[in-house]
Amino acid sequence: MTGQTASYTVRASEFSRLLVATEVVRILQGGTWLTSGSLRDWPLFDLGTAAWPIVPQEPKKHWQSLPLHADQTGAEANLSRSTTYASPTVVIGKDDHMERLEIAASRGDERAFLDAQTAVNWAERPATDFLRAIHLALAAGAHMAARNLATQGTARYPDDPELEKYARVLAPPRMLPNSPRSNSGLRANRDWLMANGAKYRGQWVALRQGELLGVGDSLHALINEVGSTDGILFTKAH
Amino acid sequence: MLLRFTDGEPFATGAVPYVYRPVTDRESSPRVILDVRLGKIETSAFLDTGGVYLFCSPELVPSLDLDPRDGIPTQPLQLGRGRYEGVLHRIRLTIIAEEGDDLSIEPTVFIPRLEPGQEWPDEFPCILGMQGCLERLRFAIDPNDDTFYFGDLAQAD
Repeated sequence: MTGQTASYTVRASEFSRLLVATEVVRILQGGTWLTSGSLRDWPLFDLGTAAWPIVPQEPKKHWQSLPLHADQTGAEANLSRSTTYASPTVVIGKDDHMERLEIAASRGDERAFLDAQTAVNWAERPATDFLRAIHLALAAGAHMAARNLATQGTARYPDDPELEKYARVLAPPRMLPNSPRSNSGLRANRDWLMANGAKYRGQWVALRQGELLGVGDSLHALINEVGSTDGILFTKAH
Repeated sequence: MLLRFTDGEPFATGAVPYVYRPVTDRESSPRVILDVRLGKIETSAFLDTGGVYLFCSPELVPSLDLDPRDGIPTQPLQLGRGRYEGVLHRIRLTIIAEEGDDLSIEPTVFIPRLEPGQEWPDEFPCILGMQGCLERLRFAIDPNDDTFYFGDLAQAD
């Protein structure tokens, strides 16, 4: 019970003796009714020997009526139930919307992720939730959703550098200024690969204008051997 | 000759011959393989219009001068028969033209991080996916002479 917000409704049949004025004051001031543990404190009816916190009844929150989630652990379920022993309503203590996103991501279920995403009121979410949701979208294979969340997040939190980075990396491809044509040996290289590729299959080759400059097991070693990268095609022979 | 719309506006601003053959010993289906430039390295890449991002061979990564602080971690992505951990970055990608102009874009690139003992499929060059990579390009292929035509969609804006 310690630390839990519990409610207790005293029924008339348990409270039939009259309280003396000092007891009423103690209850109102302390919010708890302490007994010594002796039955003599309660000659007529025993309400127990523990400390009973008396707190105002709060209106039931909407999530208190949700069913236990299938993935909720037994410990969590027991804890949830223990907080409402006098009115046994199941409580989900976690953020249900984010939890649904996490479950969809863990299953790689893109459709479920998108359904869960649309149920979230993102206008009320902090930047950390956007970042978490982007990661979950990527895990679910919902790459477009990840982009949209990053765009939405950085629009809402324009000063958040992390969200800005995510939005930049996931943005649609940016067109860069056109470059003049840079290589006139493409067809010669293609013809060389078609004619000779099978002989070097799986190895890196360096080609310039259809001429073989070198062969290597690793790209790094081949670049060092050739000594330049300008105008040279480095590819795996295929 | 580059492709044009009926009103004379260009559909494609560049064209390049492609290689049409399987990229692995395990595959029998041929792929459209192009020459591209990543950073300072000219290399090969094949089209995968059902894929996402630009996938990059780990051997190319040291030549790309990427700043690790600019990347974002992502969950493992499926490639062929393997799943690979990696980081998403932005990088300059140029499709090299034989006719017309080269075309440069800045797509999202998946940089794999291999686990100890994990190998990148040997036969894979880079892979040009649709979302995050080719989605803002016009492109067409002519199987008659194995030519890949490409243009900047932004020209229509």
